[in-house]
Amino acid sequence: MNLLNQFEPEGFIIGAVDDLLNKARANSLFFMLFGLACCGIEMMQTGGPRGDLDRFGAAPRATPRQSDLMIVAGTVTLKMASRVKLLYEQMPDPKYVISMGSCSNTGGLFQAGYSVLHGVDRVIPVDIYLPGCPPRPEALLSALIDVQKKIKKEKYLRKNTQTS
Amino acid sequence: MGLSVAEIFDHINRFANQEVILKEEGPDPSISITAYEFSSVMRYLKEVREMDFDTLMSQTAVHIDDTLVMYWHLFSYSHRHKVVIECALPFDDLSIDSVTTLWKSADWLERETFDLFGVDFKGHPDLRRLLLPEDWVGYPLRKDYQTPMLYGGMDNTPSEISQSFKPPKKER
Repeated sequence: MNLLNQFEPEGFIIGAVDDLLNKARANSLFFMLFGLACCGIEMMQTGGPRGDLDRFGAAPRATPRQSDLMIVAGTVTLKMASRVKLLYEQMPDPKYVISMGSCSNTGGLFQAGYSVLHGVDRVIPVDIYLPGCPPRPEALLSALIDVQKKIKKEKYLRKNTQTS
Repeated sequence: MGLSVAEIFDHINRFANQEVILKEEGPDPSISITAYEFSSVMRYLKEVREMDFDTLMSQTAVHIDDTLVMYWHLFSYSHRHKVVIECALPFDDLSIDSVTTLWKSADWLERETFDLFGVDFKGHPDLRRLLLPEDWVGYPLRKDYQTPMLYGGMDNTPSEISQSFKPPKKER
């Protein structure tokens, strides 16, 4: 619905603060640029003109301290796992994690290797698991929309609610 | 044009005192030398004019049965010829002379072989792990290596469902 030119000059809108806040949070999901392997290439494609992640309000940030969403795109090695955890801890609350691709879900193709972590959920909590090897840009977009749906259901201002 | 591997073998055979073997099977014929004479043969290949191997292309190793077979791939830009030098090491004495004084590129290649096989390169200026974390235990590319289930406080046991996908282990 187009709200432009629908109100009297002195008009106002009544709404729940929760809804307003969630709408704002869901439509300004800044994600951290965090490509670890070939899924990172698909993430770049999603940011490109065809996928155009920006139209959902998701802008890439180069630092964890400015991001709300971590897209773990690629194989997490044991050497990288402690770094992933550190980056996650540097992000401000509320924060969300998409585990993108088979490798970061379970270790994927490389799980028999000696150096690969069997799923990033052993290190950090994951909100959305996105299957695929690698997932297409459309799939990543749908995962982002799933995160938005999750955010819109949250009652962030209430006491004792778990956010992430 | 440069020398063939057979001609290079003749040169090394005349130079060396101990046994030198030419292995012609496979796509890359190789020349096997002993660890005792390794250092002098490599210096000979680098410095003699007919050889003039100015480039170390690759250095690696393979765990075959009870020995670790080391490989050096050498190339000469001036003569356009190349050769593979191999040297078998027993597992109770995994040490060999470093060739970093002859080829600078050997530095990281030898660090990688040290990292993954645990070979001690005598005379290497900075023999540390290259790829794996510094607190890693064991040498992963040895055939008897066991993948750790726990690393740095992280549980890395494969899940039940992923174990069911694995093919059965072949008997060696």
